[in-house]
Amino acid sequence: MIKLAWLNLQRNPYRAMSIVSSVFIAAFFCILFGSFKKGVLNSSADSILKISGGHIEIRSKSYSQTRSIDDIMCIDSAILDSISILPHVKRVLPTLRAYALISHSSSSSSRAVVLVGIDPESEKDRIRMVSEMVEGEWFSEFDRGVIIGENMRNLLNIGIGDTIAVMGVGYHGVSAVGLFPVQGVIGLPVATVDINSMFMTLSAAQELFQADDCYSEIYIMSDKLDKVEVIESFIQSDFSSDEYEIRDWKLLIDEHLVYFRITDAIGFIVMFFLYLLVGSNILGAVILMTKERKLEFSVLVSIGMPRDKLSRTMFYELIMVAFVGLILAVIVSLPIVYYFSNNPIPLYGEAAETLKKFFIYAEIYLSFDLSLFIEQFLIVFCICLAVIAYPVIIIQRLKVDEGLSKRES
Amino acid sequence: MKIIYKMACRNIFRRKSRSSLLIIIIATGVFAASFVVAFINGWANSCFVEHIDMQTSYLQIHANAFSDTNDVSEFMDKQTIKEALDAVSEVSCASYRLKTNALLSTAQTSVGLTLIGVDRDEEIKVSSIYSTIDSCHGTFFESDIARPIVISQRSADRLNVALKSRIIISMQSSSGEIQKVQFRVGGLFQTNSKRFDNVTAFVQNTDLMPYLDIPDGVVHEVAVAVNNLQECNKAKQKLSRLLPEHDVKKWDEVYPLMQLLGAWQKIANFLFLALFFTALAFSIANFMLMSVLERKGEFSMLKKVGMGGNHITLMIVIETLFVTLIGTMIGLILCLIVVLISSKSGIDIQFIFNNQAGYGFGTIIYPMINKRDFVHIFALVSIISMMASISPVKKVLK
Repeated sequence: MIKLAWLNLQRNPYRAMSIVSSVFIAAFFCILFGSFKKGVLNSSADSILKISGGHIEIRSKSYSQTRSIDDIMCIDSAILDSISILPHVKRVLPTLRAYALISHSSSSSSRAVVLVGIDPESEKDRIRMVSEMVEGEWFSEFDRGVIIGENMRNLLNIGIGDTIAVMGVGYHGVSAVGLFPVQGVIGLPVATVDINSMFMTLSAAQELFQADDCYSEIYIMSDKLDKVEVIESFIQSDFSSDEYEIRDWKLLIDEHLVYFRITDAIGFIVMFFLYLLVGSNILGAVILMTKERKLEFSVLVSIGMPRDKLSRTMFYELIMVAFVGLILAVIVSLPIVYYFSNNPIPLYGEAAETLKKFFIYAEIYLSFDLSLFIEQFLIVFCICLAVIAYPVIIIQRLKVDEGLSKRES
Repeated sequence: MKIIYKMACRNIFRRKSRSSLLIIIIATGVFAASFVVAFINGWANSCFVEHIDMQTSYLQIHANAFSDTNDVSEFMDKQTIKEALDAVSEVSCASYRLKTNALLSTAQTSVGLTLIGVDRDEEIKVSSIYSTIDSCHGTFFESDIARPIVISQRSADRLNVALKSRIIISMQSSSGEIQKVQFRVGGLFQTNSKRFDNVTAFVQNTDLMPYLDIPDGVVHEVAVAVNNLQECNKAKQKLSRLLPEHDVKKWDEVYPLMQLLGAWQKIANFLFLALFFTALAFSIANFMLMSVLERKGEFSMLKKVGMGGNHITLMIVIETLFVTLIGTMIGLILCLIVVLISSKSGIDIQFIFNNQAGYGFGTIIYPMINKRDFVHIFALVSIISMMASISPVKKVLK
């Protein structure tokens, strides 16, 4: 019977091709749409994370409640190194954040700011990506200066080379006092950070607060958003949950997550209509084919082929065609999606200009995810199965005499 | 020429089932496409409405330096703003607010936040904060408590206060003196945004005014509502022209991350639609190809009896155009009906979210479609199907 189906296909290759092509279009666009949807979500989440932290944040449990410098965590640098060599970890960003009063001779009052000690090399992927040096130079590793935001510069009316006095409380009650030259001015897209933060190198901050090897937060950037959970499971062994709090990006941008969810939901609905569209297309192709072959079916039934057998032949035939279309679609879309998952698609237009204001490159990586291929494959296959019911029903209800008489007219 | 029209028409009616199949396929495609457009339109409109409603309102006007520092002495004259707002037709209503940094203290602890002094009747027109206060959590300045303050439930938990608890508010007047005033909790609101909840509290204008030491008839912030989201930009431009010394900000400029989210959303919209229409084009083209290739024999017969290739092409194009026209019409009318029904009640997409909690807003989408979209879809589909029919005909005629 399978042989008969195969022969049928070969007998009229153009007819087979037309169904193959409609299945191909269906599967191809569904796969493409799926990975586009995921890609847009991931790219947008990534861009927000660059401004507001990293994919994973580690901090000590007591620090998350008190925000006191006495509760920061002391971690051996070997552990940090071991995290950075884990697969999919792009950067480990240790930071030391503490409050201090700063003052400068140009104004009579002092201001409370957040001193952020950062690793200048690693931050090239984060803060440097979303900001712009307005004046001066970015840190080299052992610099002793501070970099301030553009707004703070305007507020305090200070410039490069001026010295700022810093007073604060260091680790375990020591006093943290020092004089720091302003080394650079940075333009940050988020005004609140810009106005109350001051950056210095991690080593300088650790020395100021006398907190060697101590960090308030450790951020981890991953190269792929979908791999964050893998990293998380790796680091859980190093950081016990009694002592440390590990938060991933879903918690970090909790408030914005609803927008991603809505985008996701819209994508889902558009996808539903896409299924409707491609489904009706496949159905149309099958209906045309059945109509065309009504005579053939009638003849077969009238010369004594059981209807069940004929239906089964038809079933095999269409399954084969559907598989060819599906596999073709996967083969064609696989390299396309793979290529664009490594090489981003640049975007243009008004929205992209807005992104540029935040120093984010408007580009989209498609998401290369095998489960997505399988999912779309199965969905389109189910659509095909549903469509195959049509010729089967037609064959079961076929009125042989009518089918044959059509030929005469 | 006339005979070609005639033949085309007859061809359509001769094979009723195929023509109607084609019409149905196109109608489904057009319906799906136009409904997706309507859906995305509605979404773009509603997605940020909650944020605007609760937190920023459409536009905010400040005295120039105020927005950075919340400095009480940076006030502006209410009358000037009012005149400007009256002159802009897009503006529907406005709330004139006082705003200051304050420290809220109870016996246990203290919390620093931004205190907003509002007039109840004005405020409920521009912001929906009042609607988040349910009956067991007090009211938005409707009770007869003397000097009520409305704080978020999160702040209330932090301060460990309940309804009618006393809170001491310390703030600085414009002359630099520290004022301490006792307020009572009159209501507890809750939005979806932790950030906003943690830093905002509302009191009545008249209760705040005496302690700020500022002249009568001045305000710190004006929250402006416009008729709809699309008119925001226009209204902003007009207002900044009328109030050159003031700082007019659109909702996404007040909180820049919204701008980022908005931009991403536009990109997502565009990509979704682009991909969808490409799929539509391909599936129509594929179907056209099938139906033309099927009639190969017919065309070669016509050619043999002496019909020119151009005429055959023309015939097919007319046929296609006719069928497409009907299909598109049906699809658009279908979409119109569905949109009309669903735009009143809205479509709740809550069921897609796994997480049920906290997303009471923004999950109901009101699809919208306008004439321009209709024309675009109509033109696009016609062009697609024309192109789709011409190329296979040429192949057949060879």
